[in-house]
Amino acid sequence: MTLPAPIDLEQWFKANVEDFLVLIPTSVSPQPVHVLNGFLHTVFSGRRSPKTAVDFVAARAGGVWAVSNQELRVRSPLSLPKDDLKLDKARRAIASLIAADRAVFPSFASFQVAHPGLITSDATHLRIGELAARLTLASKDGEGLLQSLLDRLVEPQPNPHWAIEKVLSDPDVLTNVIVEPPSDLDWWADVPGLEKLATDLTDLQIRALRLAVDSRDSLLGLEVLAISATWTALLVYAQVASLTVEGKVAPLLVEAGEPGSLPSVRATSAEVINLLDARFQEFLVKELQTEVNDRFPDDSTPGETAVAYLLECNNTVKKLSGGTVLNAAQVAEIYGMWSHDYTSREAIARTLQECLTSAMGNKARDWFAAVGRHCGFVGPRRGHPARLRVEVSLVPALVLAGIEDADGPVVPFKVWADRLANKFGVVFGPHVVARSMVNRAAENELEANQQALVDLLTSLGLARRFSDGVTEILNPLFSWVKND
Amino acid sequence: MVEETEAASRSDLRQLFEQGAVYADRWTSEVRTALDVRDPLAEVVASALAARKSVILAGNAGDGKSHLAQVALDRMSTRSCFEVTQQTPAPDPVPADALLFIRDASSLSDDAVLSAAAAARAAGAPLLMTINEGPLTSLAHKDTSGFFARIRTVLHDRAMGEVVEDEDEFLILNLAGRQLTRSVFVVGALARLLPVVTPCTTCAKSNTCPRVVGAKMLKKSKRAQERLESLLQLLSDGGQHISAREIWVFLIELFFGWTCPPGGTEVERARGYFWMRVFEGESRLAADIAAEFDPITVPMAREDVYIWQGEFEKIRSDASYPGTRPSVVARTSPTDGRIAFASAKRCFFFFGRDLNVESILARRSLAPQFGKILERAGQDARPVIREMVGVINSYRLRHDTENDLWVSRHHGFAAQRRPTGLGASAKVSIEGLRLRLPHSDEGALYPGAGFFPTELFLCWEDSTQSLLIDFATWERLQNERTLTVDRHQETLDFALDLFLSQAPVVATADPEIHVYDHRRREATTLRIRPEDHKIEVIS
Repeated sequence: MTLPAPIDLEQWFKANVEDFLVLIPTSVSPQPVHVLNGFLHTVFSGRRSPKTAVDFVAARAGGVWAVSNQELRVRSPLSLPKDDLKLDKARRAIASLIAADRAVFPSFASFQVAHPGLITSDATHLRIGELAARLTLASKDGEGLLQSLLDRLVEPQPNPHWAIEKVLSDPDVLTNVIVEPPSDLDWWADVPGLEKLATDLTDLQIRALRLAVDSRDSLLGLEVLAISATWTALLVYAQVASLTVEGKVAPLLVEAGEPGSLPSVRATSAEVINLLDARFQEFLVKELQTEVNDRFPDDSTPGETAVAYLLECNNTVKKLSGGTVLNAAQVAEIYGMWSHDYTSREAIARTLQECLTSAMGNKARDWFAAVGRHCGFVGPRRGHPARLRVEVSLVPALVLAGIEDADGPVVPFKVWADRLANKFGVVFGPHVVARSMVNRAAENELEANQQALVDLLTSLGLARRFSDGVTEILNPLFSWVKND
Repeated sequence: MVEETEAASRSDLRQLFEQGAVYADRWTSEVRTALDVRDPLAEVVASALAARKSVILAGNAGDGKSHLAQVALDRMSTRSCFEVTQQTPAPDPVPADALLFIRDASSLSDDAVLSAAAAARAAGAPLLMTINEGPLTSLAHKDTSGFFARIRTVLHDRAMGEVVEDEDEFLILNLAGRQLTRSVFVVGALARLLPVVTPCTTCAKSNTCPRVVGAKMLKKSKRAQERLESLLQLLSDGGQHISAREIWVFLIELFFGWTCPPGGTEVERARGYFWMRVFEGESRLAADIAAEFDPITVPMAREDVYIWQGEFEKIRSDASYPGTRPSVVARTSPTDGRIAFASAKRCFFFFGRDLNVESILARRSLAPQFGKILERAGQDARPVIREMVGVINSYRLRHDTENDLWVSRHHGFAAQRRPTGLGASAKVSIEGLRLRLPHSDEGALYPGAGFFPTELFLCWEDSTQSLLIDFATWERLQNERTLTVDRHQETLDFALDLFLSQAPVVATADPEIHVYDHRRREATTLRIRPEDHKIEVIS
């Protein structure tokens, strides 16, 4: 029997997962600082030349400047202190403001962008910035808002970061910069059944962008934009797979308050990460199944033929750091196991998924946990178990996610919380979504968890709490907006 | 006859206290009268009703809304009162000289409440209603007349410290804004409760029962009553809203919650004195007080020796300690000796004449200091603003200035890492800041009624973004900013970031930038001259 053409798993993964989801769930590197830089790099044209800034603040391991003071004075177009002590002091102070997220290195750098002159071509965002860009530009308002953001950030802003980044920028770098949408792509947002999620995430990005354009303070707007974009990638990973496999959003119970103080909430929110991983693996199986069905017209492939085919496919997969390429015996054993319960085509698809997952350097659940920790959606910072948590830096993005365009200055907490649950599956307290979870948290703990969230929102000035437990969310699009 | 009635009433009260039944809605008129603590608001409500104004009493469960309404109604003599219930809707039409009473809006459907309110308005009759925020939200949403929305707005604005006058047609009182520990309530409740304290079931008629002994001692000592009140105030200064019901539950538990163990030793019975139960009782407030303060943790070199040796007569006190000498008890059981010491020392805390309790509490807890700040803020906001600005500048930038708030910012995005460097290129004079004190409006209008804030809001003149400063926030601002995983500090940092982001500052061409690196503890001042492509280090 002639075997069908093998599936190049690496290429398949790139086209059907990375390109389709517009994220690379096999890396643990992306942080919000990379994502914001990647987002701005994707949407704005122009050359990137932040060499002056990189030379000024980049350090090598051990804290030694990548470019010595002496060399810096020669290379830099800036007028700098002649005294080494003073120059060191200036470099340390400036690094602590614009490179504190430890993403600036001599070879690649992402600054905490406050001025567009410091946008770089660093690809460490690993497509999350591109995902945010595509969602933003899917809105009719996206392009105009991006142009407004650029216009705003070119003008002097009343914060120290802008002035520092301005002086470190190439003077001509922003000449003729325009909004430049990325090229077309077949991606999840166009798939029937996923449009609503795409629209809701686009709305979130647009609101974050609007905040960056219209809020009194550009720094805060950019921070919210960076966190929203990063969080969006996590929601895409979680809910695209879930909607594709189950036809509904996955319930995401998020722990608030003191870590571990509510044991059943802790256990359930930890279980969510396992659930999402399982859904993602099922998503891979489902997509691979389509590919296998195309190649095998019927379900009567003999076992030896299937294994031979699988081995050919397995040869196409590249082992990434930390991953393992399965050997022939393992492939045969796995196929044998699956073929007990599934048809030959299904068993092939499931075995291919295992080949693929095994070879991944970083498993998708590790990616989710790492990126989640960076944007404040997964905790604890160190230790186990990884679980969904809300940390302070995520809160403004979370608030925006539950706001709608027609809202006024305040939104009742319940309305806001219901929207988060219905749109994104995100729940904190007693809600039908939380009650539908297999590993269900205790009702009194859900109440306490919701109260912890209310306390957090109130402490941050993003909510008002009245008697009888009534809480109102303050709409940042009103409270942070410029008066002029 | 009078004595019989009084005796019957006392018996009722004892039964009520033994059962811990402190739901005013279920009290008889006699019980209500017997337990009524004089409240200046009763007259306010009665006067408003007499002037044909509607009165809305809002607040949390247990704040005393129903009791206040009923007491005010009791003062109304001539007017006919229709109580609207599920079974008895408002009469149609409402007689013009009548008064409609809704004892608890949550016990009626929204439609029934709206219909009663509309009927009262149509007849020009006053409406007296007690309501919680939850039902009010729902009513405000459904009411097309805007009546309940206006009420809600007034309540919310006052709760956020705005000064809002009542409209002509209604009076709104939000009892959630009261800190009863700052009124005569505690002492008044003790006056009702102490006379009816009886021995426990084990002691039967014995007057040596610790319940009775403690009650008699407390009844005679105004000083001890005030100290009990100051312990409760410690909690409200720390930000806790303590309802009338919680105070009743706490006091009742002190005197009626204890039963002596049959055949118990004197040390075992010592746990039944109120001064032990204040710190060891089963009520929530007792646990909270013990967590905040306990006199046995306060070292007093001379008095501790006297107490241990049982030389109680050497300590000037309002009452003699009725227990045994700790040192004697300790000879047979060190544990019992420690209990006996705790009992004697706690007793001394309440009755000792030479103790400066205010100073002791201030040394052991920062809550009284925060309470004083709230008091001062109500009188003159400016010094308090200056103080707050000082602690914020010190916390963020290690600057000691109090007249200008440095707009210190970071631009870190990583949730898992605390920002190390904070930089400021502008500052705002304290003239551009104001304070909002929740319920300050009611506090000024009804002195003595206990309206008092538990927190304050630092605000910009032209922004709705405010910084909530409650006791915990204020306490944290005194500490040094760290870079470790500390969610409380992270929340404070982020709240400050959000607040400072709304500062009314403008960009300057060549800003002077003050940077404080919290990792290196290094302060740097830079001058940035973008037009000249120049970076200068000033210091």
